Amino acid sequence: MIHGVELGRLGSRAATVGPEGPTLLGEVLAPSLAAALAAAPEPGPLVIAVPGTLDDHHRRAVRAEAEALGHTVLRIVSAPLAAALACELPARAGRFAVFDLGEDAFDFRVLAVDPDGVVEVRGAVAEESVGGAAMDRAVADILLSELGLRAAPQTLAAVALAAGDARIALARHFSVTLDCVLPSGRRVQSRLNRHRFAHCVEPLLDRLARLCHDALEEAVLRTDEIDEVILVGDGARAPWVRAFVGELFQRVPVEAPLGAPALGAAALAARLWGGEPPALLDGLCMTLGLEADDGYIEWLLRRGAPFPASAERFVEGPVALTVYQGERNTAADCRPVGVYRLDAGAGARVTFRVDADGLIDVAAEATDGRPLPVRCERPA
Amino acid sequence: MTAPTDDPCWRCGAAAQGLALTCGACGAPLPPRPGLNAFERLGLPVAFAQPPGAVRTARRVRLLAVHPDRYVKSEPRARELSLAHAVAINDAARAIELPYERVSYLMSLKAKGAPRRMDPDDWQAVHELKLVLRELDHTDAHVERSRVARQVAEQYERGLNEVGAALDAGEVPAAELMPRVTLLRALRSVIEAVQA
Repeated sequence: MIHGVELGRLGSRAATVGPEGPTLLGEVLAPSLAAALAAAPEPGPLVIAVPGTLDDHHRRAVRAEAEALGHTVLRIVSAPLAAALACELPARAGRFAVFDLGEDAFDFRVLAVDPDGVVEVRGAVAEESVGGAAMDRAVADILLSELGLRAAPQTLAAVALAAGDARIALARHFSVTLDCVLPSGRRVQSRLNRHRFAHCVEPLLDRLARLCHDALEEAVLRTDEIDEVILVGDGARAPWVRAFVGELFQRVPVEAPLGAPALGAAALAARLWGGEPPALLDGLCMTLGLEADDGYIEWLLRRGAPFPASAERFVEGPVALTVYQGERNTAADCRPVGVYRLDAGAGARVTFRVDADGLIDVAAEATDGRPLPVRCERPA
Repeated sequence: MTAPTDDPCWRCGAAAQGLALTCGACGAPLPPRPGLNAFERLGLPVAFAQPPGAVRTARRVRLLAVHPDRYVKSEPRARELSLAHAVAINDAARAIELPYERVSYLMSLKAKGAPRRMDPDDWQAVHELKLVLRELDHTDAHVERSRVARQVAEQYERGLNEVGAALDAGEVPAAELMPRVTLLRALRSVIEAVQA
């Protein structure tokens, strides 16, 4: 059996390819590949859809887990691209935008689909901490401040949890009551409607707009040149997010089917296993860089760069090279994804390679052509 | 162009196939040819002037022919070679797709080792430009700032095309163009600072 699985940070979905195409097997409320694939009748070829921001270490762990379960991992693909396949973009030439707002991350892709059916990333951007959970925290923060309560971490977490429930309920109702018992035992009740929720999360929506414009600029496209905007992810189902995207692109966005990344991953698995021509040309959604001596980041591969790709640097002596992902200039503001130690002696050329699964391989070669051992460590 | 090697296909032993990416007989990816520059890797003339979209199209055609997705069921060597091709093709396209990168790359081919220097007058002009922009940052003179930024961008575009044309014409030794390329680099950093 051919499968696809979507692995989020809070939940996972699996799909399988039957005679009528990909169908969802089920959903689990845990970031667990094994649990999601428990409903699969037998192991087989598998494509895994992951958040674009997922780092090298986690990607490797996911692959190893799937292989330990007996699956043959054909590809690890980013969730918005997998969703594009589920929306059958290869059958429709044009310019598309995929707006994937999950619970804890945002991933936006500008895609060009040519008549040959190849989906190519022209612009990409991803950021953590701007998803649905961040919206819940923003609402909780404002509510606590209105009530004159100190936003201690536990209190904030309790109200944010209730705000999350309210957010989901507001997708169906115009107005709901947020009801929450604080760790102190005090009960908090507040009436929330869609307008108020949208007002509370306005700074986050502004941030999302800025990110979308960055990706469009990279793709050299204006919002009115996008033929269709596709909404993916639970966070994107909120009515104020739909309205925001509609206003930003001046068109009604289309909602991807439930579990689109899992369905798309299964469709991709079937394509790859069936020997069909490549359908996706991916691009990095976050910049990769090295920490320089002064704490600044020296870019290796910029956001949007098509991958597989590589970058080289020349180093001397024993070094520990820390690779970061993120768009800021300083290492302190980016996320470390791997530390690579080697003794370069009189000098060595180090190659950082991102493969088709988004995995980073680092190899070093001495000036005389001798390969040097590189030890990879997970950053603290 | 770099001469093709005479190695037969590693999988089926078919005779050497010039600069082909894959074996015409069995479809296996052939080892990427060493020593090609980015233009040769993409089958493009070594020149600044390229038709619009030429680099993108060349990259796409080659990448689709040897993309790792084609070889997911193949033996490890085929998978490794297709990945090596995909990396080489994407790296080549990244090196020459944008005009400034293309000029820099051509300079690295034609003026290797030439010292990076800038005419003192240009250096002074860029320094003054930075001071003007910094001054405008502190005031709210948005219109004036935009006007200056536009002028810098125009100067940069013009300079880029002139240097590119000079490189293609080959009438001036490439090393003599280095001060102008260094000026372009300085202008580019000013533009990036303005955009940031």
